[in-house]
Amino acid sequence: MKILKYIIFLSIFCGIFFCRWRISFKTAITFSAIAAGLIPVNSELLGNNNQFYQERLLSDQEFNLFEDSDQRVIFAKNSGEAEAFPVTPINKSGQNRNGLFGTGNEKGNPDDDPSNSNTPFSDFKENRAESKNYEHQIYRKMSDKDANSETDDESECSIDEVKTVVANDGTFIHAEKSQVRDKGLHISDFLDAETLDGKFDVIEAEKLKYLDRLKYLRDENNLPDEIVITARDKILDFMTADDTKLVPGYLGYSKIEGTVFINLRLNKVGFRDNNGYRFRTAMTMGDDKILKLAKTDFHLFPDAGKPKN
Amino acid sequence: MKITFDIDRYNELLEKEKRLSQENNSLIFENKDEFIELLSYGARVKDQISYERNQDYYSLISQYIDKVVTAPIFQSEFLKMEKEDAKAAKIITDDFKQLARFSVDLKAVEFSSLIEGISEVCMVACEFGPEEGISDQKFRKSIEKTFLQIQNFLNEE
Repeated sequence: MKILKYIIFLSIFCGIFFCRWRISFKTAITFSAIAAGLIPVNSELLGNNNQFYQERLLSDQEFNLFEDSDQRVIFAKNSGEAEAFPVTPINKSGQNRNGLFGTGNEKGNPDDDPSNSNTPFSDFKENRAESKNYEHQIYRKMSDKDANSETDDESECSIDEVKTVVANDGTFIHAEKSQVRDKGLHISDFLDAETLDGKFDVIEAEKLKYLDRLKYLRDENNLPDEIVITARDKILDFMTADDTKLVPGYLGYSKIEGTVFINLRLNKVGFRDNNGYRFRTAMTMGDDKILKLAKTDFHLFPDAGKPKN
Repeated sequence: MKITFDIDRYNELLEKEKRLSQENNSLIFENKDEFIELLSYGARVKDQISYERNQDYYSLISQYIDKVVTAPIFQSEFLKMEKEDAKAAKIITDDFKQLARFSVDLKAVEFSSLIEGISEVCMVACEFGPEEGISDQKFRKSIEKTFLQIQNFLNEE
């Protein structure tokens, strides 16, 4: 295995010089060695005791297409020279990105979460799911053990965070698991009671106030990943169904531009924004609600985010 | 005063939508007025179904006004009732025989417009929370206002 790594190292190293990149000899060696897996990435630098997370910018990535059941699924793959190796820690000072999104802490213990101490809901205020500038964090997760491992499986990616499918019009829908989780109240619109039985207590979630509910939904003990993934599949089934219509529309008072997905057979409506083609929400709507949507130029929740007087 | 449905016209619109759908098109793009007309059948049926259980709606709203149920429970229960009505309406619009026999009271349309306001604020509250959606105070005020209108409406009957 080591020999193979040295061969990869030499190939990358030679490649750098054949391409005449303007980088120093030392940088080229380091770059090649990391790429070949000869140098483990130092997780201490990344500010987390047991694991680190690497942000992935899907819009700059190269996509691999392959078939997954009925859906065309694409997963992002790191390819950018600049982005591929400098690992961006999510625990930058002054940022609380990992907190209540439930991804910064494997056990999801809010007590260990810095964003829960003085400003418990700072994430919500600055990065609420429906905000115009809303950004979900998408992470590649590796454990220390994995990073130092001698095996080829050392980069265990959490590639299931984003599922990308192709809509009827050929455009992408990037559905983040965390977004589906946040929209947990709509999960029962897509999964039957039998599937949810004993795994996710929707009624318990419904009893809670919005912020408590978000916290509840972001805890894997309350809403298991398995349910979120199944719900996401069902949502994407609806969004990519042959008879689902894609209509240009808006979300919220600030008129976030996007596409409204309407299926009259299923009585389902969804929204994907134009800023990264990200899935935002999906739910059951009766004909009366879809009718109203059509009458208002497909503007979902037009009063949401309206400045308060 | 009752509204009955033109089944032939409904069938024509359905067929049109089906044909357009096969061509990867829809009435949404071809003729929005007809798309709205098509949806109005289901919407009117739902109006009648909701109206027929107006006491259930009234009771739930009263419980919230009297602080017997909390805002989140009220919101989810209200939206659940609406979904049940929409589901029942779908069964009727999917069956021409039932739809042909169905009639809608004009009062039902009026009642429906009242509860539509409640439905909207409930959806916003569930989807967005107090910061971007609606504050607890504003939510309560909105429900109280509509509750008075519903009371007047039901008293006039």
